[in-house]
Amino acid sequence: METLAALGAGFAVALSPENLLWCLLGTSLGTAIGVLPGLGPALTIALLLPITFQVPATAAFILFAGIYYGAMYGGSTTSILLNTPGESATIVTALEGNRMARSGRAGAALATAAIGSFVAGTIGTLGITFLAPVVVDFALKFGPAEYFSLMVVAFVTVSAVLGSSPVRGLASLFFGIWLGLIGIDLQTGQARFTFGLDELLDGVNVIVVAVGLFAIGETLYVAARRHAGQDEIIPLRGSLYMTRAEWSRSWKPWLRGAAIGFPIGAMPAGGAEVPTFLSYWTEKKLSKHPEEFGTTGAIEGVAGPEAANNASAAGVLVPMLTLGLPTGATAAIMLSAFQSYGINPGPLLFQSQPALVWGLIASLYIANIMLLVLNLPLVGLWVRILRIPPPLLYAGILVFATIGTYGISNSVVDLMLLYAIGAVGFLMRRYDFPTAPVVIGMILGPLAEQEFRRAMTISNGDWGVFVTKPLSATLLALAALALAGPLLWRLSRRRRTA
Amino acid sequence: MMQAMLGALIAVLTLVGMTSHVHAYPDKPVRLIVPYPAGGSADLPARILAEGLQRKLGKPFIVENRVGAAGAIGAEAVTRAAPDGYTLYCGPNAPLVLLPLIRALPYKPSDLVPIAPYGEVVYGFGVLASMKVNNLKELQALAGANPGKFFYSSPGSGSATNLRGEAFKAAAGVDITHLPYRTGAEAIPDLLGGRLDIMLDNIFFPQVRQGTVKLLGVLSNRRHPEFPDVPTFAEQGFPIDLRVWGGFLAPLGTPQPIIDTLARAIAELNAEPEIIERQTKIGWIPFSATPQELLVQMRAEVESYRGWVQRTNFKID
Repeated sequence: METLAALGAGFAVALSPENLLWCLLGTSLGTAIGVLPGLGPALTIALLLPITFQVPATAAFILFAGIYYGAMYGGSTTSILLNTPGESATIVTALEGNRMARSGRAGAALATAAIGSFVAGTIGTLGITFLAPVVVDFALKFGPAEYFSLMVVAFVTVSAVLGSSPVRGLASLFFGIWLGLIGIDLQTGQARFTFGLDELLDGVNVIVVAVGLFAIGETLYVAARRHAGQDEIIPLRGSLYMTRAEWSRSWKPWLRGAAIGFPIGAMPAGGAEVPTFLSYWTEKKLSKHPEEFGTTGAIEGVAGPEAANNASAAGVLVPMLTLGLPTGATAAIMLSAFQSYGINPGPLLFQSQPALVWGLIASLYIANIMLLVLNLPLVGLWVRILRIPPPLLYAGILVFATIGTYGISNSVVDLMLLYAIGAVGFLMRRYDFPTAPVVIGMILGPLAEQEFRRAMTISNGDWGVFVTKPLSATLLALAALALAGPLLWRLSRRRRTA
Repeated sequence: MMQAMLGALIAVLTLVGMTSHVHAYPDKPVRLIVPYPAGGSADLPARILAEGLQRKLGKPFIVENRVGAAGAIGAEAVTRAAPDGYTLYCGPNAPLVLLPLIRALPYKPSDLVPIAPYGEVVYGFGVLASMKVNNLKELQALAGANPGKFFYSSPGSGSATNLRGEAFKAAAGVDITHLPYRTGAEAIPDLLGGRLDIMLDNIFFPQVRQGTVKLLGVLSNRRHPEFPDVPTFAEQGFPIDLRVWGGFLAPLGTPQPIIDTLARAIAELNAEPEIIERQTKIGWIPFSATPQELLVQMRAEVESYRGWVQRTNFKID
């Protein structure tokens, strides 16, 4: 009941004309960047950050959340019509969606994606509404030892799950942790890894890193494979209204997708890739038309993963708001946005900033409705964005990224860092290293270090504190399992086959 | 005679020339260097005042965030700027009065001349409401009986708040363990969860209003307007003059008339009810002082910081 009252107050905040406008702006912008391949919500929020600090925090986060949700909707359009996933979360959508488009059912694919996103996004937002206060009560019991162990879980799962191999994931993660440790150490006041540069004493700005990796790195990558062949945009054909048969084949995958997506998104490092693949696999097994998978395109294979994708996006916001724990690149950037507003996400956020939190959650419901309208009748408009010549688009991104970065602290060192990290990002992209763990490691690494040392200070140097506290011990056991589990499983399977 | 008259004429002409030049100030945009990130608690007051100065003096006042090295990069940039009144320091006192004492920096506090303050941030000692102490003397007694058992937070070793905590320990003769947190907001959950005992900050004031946190004393030379019942550190027998204030300073050699023009405008802004309300809302309590008063205060303050740095053997280890 208390939750409903808080949500009601949240709607009062979100429905103010100004905040509605921010929501509309966010969802439109989000759809646009979702449609454009290579541009993601993390990058967009990072670039907007230096501009939005003049806006009240609530409005800024409504904008960011709109971008985040919008990108999830927009990504499916590109996947279906272009076979180029706009987001990593919509890779699976391209599998069946593009086949459907090729066999003249693009309209139905777009419709089931958009409506499925709406259904699952709304279920996910309901999940945030009722789950978050529960997690908050639980999280207040967390001390430094528990937080440290929780972050170890996040590290392990992030690097094991994202990317093609744990070694690549861990390499990215430790690169991020190293970047995060640059600067004056909190405990001793010593400068670390600054190479004698005063500009590095306060550390490297995570926004510079995010923009470097996602904007510069991506642009270089696109430029490098400029002649790799043109993608073909499949013209929009088929009615946007689904037939009765298509509805009846869609609604179960939507619900199943939401049920898979939300909990996995809410887990540390669950992300959107795992639930979308999981949902695709489930639908393929359960479908009454398995012959359509991989041939003419099965509508279940679009409906399920799209729903899973949007529900997981909602799930990701739970640990971010309640624990201050980002589980994806976008959440990491949003966390640093909170910090630059002097707001610390975590259990106390719900007490200290109820208007912001509940206004944000309420705006997610509104964003879902807006996105349904923006994406279904207006889909033809978004497709037109894809006709912007890539050289102009990416040159524009480079210029905006450079100016935006310089605007943060008027530092030339930041610009050099931006391009150095952009070069690293290009190489990582080229050799298939995941970039999200860098950003997560950069934000969580120093936090984990501080929590660790704080726990040690409080326990008077007793290492046992991490295993004698039941919560902390459980979390560490989970981390060990996540790291060793797949390896052991593979070993045992090999033995059985041998 | 002729020469004397000529001399007088030149003197008069120069004076006229100078005043006409001064009357023209500002005739182009003025840069306000804020040494901390945009949107932070040290940036917002600068933007409020920049708006006011633009309104009063008719030229844009542009906030430029020169971030880095705990504020030293921005401060150094101003010391190197031309002393023409078009590049000003606008920020807190720590980079000027504390940093040069503990780090090897290419500038010293006297490289900048004060123009006017814009406000003070009043920090206080906060403990959980359930803790059985009600003032600093009782805290001194309790901490004295349990050496090393209590923890206080600061935003890092070598920070001004770390020095304030160490100064209290030295003045009270107690042993409290320092626990660094990146920001005060990060420390609050641990304070409320009973893992951290004492915070020296202003970020927990909402919790003081709710009654979950007790304010034992405020670190200022006057009481906090919102908590007039809480005595200052000095009133409770701990004369620690390590305050946080923010203000405008100019490179050494900036013409006095320019400084006076700015000082007058800032003092008028500090008295405007709307500005007082906006500043108070973000934790800054506006106060006014003439450039001379602020200079005297800063000199005393540098000595105070130097004294406590030596007394507590405060260094970056």
